[in-house]
Amino acid sequence: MDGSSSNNSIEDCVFSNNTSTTAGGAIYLFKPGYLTIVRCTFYNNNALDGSAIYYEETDLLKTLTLNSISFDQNVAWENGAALFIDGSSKTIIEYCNFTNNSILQNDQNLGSVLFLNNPGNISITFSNFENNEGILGACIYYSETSNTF
Amino acid sequence: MKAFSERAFITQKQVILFKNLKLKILDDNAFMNLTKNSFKNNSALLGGGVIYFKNKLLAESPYETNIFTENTAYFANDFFTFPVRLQVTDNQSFYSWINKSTYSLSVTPAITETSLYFSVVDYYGQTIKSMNGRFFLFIYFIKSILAILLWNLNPFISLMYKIV
Repeated sequence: MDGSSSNNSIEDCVFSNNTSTTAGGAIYLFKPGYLTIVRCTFYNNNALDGSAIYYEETDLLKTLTLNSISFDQNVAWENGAALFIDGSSKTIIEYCNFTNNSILQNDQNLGSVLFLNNPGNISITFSNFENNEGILGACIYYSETSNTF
Repeated sequence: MKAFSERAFITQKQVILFKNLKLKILDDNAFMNLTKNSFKNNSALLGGGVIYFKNKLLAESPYETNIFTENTAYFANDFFTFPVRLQVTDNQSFYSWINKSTYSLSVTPAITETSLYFSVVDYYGQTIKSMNGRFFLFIYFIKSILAILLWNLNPFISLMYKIV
């Protein structure tokens, strides 16, 4: 999905039993602009990274909003069982449920349900994380590479 | 990382407080807000039963408003690993960076120059990595408003540190 100048929305959808051998088992977002995903369910999706959603956006002014989303039983082979965020835009996660998501466990994985790689401002509010399994950070893996000398 | 001295008006001859020396972390404008979430029965094979920070600088602590219940990890903290923070050391004493954008340094009038050394430390103050070189801080004592105005016309001390 590429909509760098658009205001996009995905509403009232169910994404289940999808598989990607690379990134984004259900949705791969590449610079989607302003995107809002509301009242959707991501169930039993699989991918290498970002089993439900892989999101890449470097524009600080762009915003991804996830509202009232259910992420259940998604599995990543490496990172981001539910969501992989790569970039520095703004992300708002509110009223979401992350349940029973997991990472395949081996020595190469970092894991976590939410994998945040150099994210911009991120807000997670009124959300529930329950029975998730990861390698480093069962729920959230937050990585920055800029603050070492 | 960009280190620079902020304008500071020093008018007293006693022990003074030098404020507003700022250290700006380039590309670290990210703010993470966690508020009113529930984390229950999550487990990490290694560290961070809920959140694992890698190289995240210490920021505000929004964790008080979240609920953590029976999360587990093999090492580190069951709830979250602590972000790292910047530490600065000068010629006279030891300082830690509490607020990542503001730093206070106490000096005496006799001192006109000092050096600051920066390093990234973990939550317990153990050094993760030190920055090569040092940041020279020149301290001016200004006695009048005119001097302050003249001083304002001069460029203030600026040094750039590129971090990778």
